[in-house]
Amino acid sequence: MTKLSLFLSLCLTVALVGCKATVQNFDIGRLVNVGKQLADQGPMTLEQELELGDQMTALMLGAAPLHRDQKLQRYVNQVGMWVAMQSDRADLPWTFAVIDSSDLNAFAMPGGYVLVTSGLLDNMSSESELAGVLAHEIAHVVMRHHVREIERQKSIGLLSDVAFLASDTYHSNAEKKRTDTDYLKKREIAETLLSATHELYTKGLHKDDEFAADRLGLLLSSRAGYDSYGLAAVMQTLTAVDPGDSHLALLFTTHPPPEERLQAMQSHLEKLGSEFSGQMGRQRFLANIR
Amino acid sequence: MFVVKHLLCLLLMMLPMLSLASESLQRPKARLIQDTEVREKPQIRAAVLGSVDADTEIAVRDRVGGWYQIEAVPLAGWVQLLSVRFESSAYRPGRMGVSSLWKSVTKGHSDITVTTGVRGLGEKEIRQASINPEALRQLQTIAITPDTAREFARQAHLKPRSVDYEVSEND
Repeated sequence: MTKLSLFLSLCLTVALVGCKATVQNFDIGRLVNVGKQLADQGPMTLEQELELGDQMTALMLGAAPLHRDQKLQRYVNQVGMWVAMQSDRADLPWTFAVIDSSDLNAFAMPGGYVLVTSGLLDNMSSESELAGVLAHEIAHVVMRHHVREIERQKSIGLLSDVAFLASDTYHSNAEKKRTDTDYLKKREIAETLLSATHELYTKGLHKDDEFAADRLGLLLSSRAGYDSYGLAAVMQTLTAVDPGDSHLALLFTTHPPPEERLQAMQSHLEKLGSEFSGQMGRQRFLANIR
Repeated sequence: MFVVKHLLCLLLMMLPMLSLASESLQRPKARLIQDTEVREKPQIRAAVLGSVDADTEIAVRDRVGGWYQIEAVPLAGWVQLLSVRFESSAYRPGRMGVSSLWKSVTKGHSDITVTTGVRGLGEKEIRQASINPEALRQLQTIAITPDTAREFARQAHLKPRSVDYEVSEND
C-alpha cells in the first residue's frame, strides 16, 4: 500500500499540474527511482480518489449505456443528492445516474458516483425504495470501501498516472502502434488499474462492507425523511425473484443473499421504529418513472 | 340461436369477472416466517384482528412503511414487513413483489428499461468494458447542486430527521 499510494500521488500531482498533452513526455523511470527513496505517504488523497472514481466510472459506462430520459436522470440526482447531504461526505461532487439495463443492480465508485440500473427501478414502486438503494451505495463511498480495496491490492503494483487513462494518447489508435518503452510502461500500468476495476466490480466487496453499507444506508435515508423500510422492501422484492435468474446473477455474486441482509437489518429497523414516520413518496416516484 | 346468443352474453358478462380473478392471482404469494398478529391498521397500537401461524401462505396487497397489507383467509389486515417472505417465482420484468400491484393499477405505466436485455450488465460485460470518456463527460453534466436538492426536498416536504441511534462499523 505504501509504495503504491506514493507512486499514485506523485504521478497524479504531475498529471494534474501539467496538462494532458505533456503526459507522453512523462519519465516513468525517474518516478520509480524517486518512489523508492521516499517515505510512506498514507491513504489516498481526495484528488486521487476523485481521479480514480472518474476513470472507474468511465469504465462502468463502457459496460452499459446511460438512460436517455433526462427528466429521470434529474429525478434520481435529486433523491440521491438529498440523501448524500445527510452524510459526513456531503461535499463530494455526488453524481447519480440510471443505466439502461434490464439487469437489477447498483454500483458506487470512489469520489461520489452512483449508478443504478433501469431494471432495478422498474421493480420499485416508491421513492423510499430508490432512496434506500442510493443510500446503501452512498454509504460505500462515505466509508471509502472501494478506495480501501484498491489500496489493498498489492497486485496493482505501480498504480500511477490514472490521468493517463483520460489522455488522448491512451485513446488514440495511431498511438497504439507505438513500441517505445515509456509509452508501453504507462499503458501497462493504466491497464492494471482497469483490470483492478474489472475485478472489483465483478467480485464485489467483502460481505462485512455490504452489511455496513446497509446499516449506514438505513440511517442516511431515515435522516433524509424517508420511510426506513425502503431498502428492506427492495430486498423483499429480490427474494420474490427466482434466484437463478440471469438478471440477478451479478448482484448475487457480489452481495450477500437478500435473506441474510433482511435478517441483519432487523434489529436496526426495530431501533428506528416501525411506526410510519417517513415518506414513501409513491405518487412522486410513479410520476417520475415513466 | 337464441341459446347461443344468451350463452355469448353470459360469457361476455363473465369476462370482467375473469380479469378481476386474474388480478387477484397476480397478488404476490408469500408466507409468514413466524406466528404473526394481523392488525386493523399499519400501526403497532392498532386493534388486533387475529393471529396467523408461521408458514401460512398469504397474499400481499400493499405496503405502508414497515407493514404489508395481507390476506390470509378469513383474515385481511396488516402485518409487520419482516414477518413476511415472498415465494420466489420466474422473473417478470417490472412485475415482482408489490410493484406488480401498482403497475396494474396505474394506467399508462410502462417500464423504463429500453434495451431488450440481449446484452445484460453481467460479469462478462464488465470484464470486456473499456473506458468510455464521452459517457463520463455526459454523466458529469447531469449532476445537480446541493441547493437544487434542498429545493427538491422542500417541495417534496421531506424533512430531515435527527436519528439518535448511532451506527458504528463494527455493529
